[in-house]
Amino acid sequence: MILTTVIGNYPKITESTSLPSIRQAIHRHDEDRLTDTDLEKIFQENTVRVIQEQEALGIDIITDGQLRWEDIVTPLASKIEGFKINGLTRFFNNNVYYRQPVVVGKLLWRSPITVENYRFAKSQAKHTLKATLPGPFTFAALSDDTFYHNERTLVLALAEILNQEAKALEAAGAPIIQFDEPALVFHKEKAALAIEGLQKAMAGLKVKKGIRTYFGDLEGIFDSFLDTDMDFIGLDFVSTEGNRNILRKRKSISKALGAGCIDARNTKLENPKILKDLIQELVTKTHQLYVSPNCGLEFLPYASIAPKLSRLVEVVRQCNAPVGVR
Amino acid sequence: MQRPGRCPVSALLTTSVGSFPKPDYLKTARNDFYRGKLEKTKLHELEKQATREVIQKQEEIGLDILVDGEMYRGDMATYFAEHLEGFKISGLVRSYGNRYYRKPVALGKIRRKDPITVSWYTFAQSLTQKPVKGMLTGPYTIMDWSFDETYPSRRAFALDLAQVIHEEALDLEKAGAQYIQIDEPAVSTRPEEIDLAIEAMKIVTKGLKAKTITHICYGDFEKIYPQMLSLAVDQIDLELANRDFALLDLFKKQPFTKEIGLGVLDVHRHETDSKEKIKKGIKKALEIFPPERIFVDPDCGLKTRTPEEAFAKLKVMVEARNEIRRELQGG
Repeated sequence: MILTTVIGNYPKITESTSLPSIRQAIHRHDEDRLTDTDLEKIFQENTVRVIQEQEALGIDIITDGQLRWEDIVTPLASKIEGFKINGLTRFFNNNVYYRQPVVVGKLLWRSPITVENYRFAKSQAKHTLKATLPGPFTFAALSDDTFYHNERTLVLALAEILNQEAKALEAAGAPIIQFDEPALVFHKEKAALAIEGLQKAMAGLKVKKGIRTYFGDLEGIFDSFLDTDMDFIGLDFVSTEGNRNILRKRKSISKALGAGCIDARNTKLENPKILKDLIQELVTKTHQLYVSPNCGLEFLPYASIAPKLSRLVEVVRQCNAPVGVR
Repeated sequence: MQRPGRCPVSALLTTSVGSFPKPDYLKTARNDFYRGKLEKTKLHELEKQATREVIQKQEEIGLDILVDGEMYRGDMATYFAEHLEGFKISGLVRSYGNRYYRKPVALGKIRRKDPITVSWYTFAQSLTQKPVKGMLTGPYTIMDWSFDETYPSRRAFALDLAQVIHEEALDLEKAGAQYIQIDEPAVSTRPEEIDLAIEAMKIVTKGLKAKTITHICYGDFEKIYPQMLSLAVDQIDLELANRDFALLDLFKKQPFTKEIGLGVLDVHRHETDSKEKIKKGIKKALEIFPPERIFVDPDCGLKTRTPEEAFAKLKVMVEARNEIRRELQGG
């Protein structure tokens, strides 16, 4: 059966809700007009809202919406010893910026960083709740290294830390752990290093584990991912044509496939016929297909989320229906 | 280093990139307007008042080429979309940290009904004897920063935008603008699309006699250099201060064939930049460019600073430029 999922983040604010806005809460907290406890309460209330929205829309495997995450690396970097957080820089090829982590000393993981929030979200979720982390290669690519002066050393140091975090998430009950590796599509020449890091980050995990890539394709390096310990590989079928070419050349692949089929960087609603054709082509290539937007949902305004996810769920349901009911 | 005596007063002109911080009364008024608590004519009056203040302040500081400060604009791409046929404006999306903005959404063919910025240019120019720049956002950037629900390709979208920005540039020139700046901060985002940005800019500046400038920021210039020199403008304005002027080393290897807008103020820092650092940057540029081809300005728009921070930064910048001029003149 084809399952629906999302990549990670979800818009933090709505245009109108009865709940206090995260945007206003952060603003008031910055001005010392809101306590840490009250800010945390607002994050939790909105996390519950985001979980319930995904479930109501029919997403099978959900996330907590990453409402506390400004981007995919700083929430971790700010809690890992050896990092400081620097000025704004562009997040890949988007008109979105993040504060760049700078490696200033030996990186050290003291205690679980995301686990407490995972536990809270899981206690609220009826559907499967996956945990997401940046992949070690992307984490390194988004950071500025002024300490190790060696990319491989940095990637492996981050892999070690992410492995500890992933194991803590596993112990907290996460049934799926996803590593985001968007940087790979921009640095295909470094696939071997990325894989070395990922193998280390996934070492010893018994739960389902894998990667999601987005903003581009893995054409030319895809095969090297088949020979790894990961259970699923996630590809973006929207940003470029490359990933579709990869699969057209193959009868089937040995891994579960995550497929980004909805454009989460444009408000245009997908044509159901084209979407269905894509999904039906992909489902023949793998034993397990997870269909999702191509990247996190925060690039979209809130009003686009429900129509886009509904379209995804509706088409997947058609594809899952027994022959004759289609 | 240039020899003494080689610095006419028309060299090392100072300017700014475009936006100035909005004074508190204007921020409040904009909020009130969006909540329906203030009439448009009242808001417009306050925007004019703020523009007068910004022009006056720039004259006091001693800048050579002025801007209107964009007191009437929110986001630099969305502002144009609001005035073009074919666009609607999206709900809020996050840009970074806790900052959100509304993006343009192309729903139909983009057309310009009326001039967009000309009346503001004319108003600002009427307040000063110094030249005021006409300020536009480039087609590639508006395309890249918009959602698109209608065009078959990014190229088709960008080229339609190029045509409307061209029409606007012609009108600015007709109104008297001697300098027209077409900002393309997004050009460095996707190096593989630099040819599209170049194609679009050619359309925008076609037939213009005014001096044309483009501002580019936030990116890997290494990946679009020297191709970016094919952008059809007289001057390219770059952020240099926040990279400690390292980019200039690149231009030593591959000649920079246009005038340079030399960003010497780090606009993302609250602190006033040190005069010594600014002078060092200008001197480094003088090793590569003759003074009349250098235009000294901040790295980027100043709208994220407070008015006090912005004016303090510009003041030091002009002082640094004045000292260098005196040194060059052998004083």
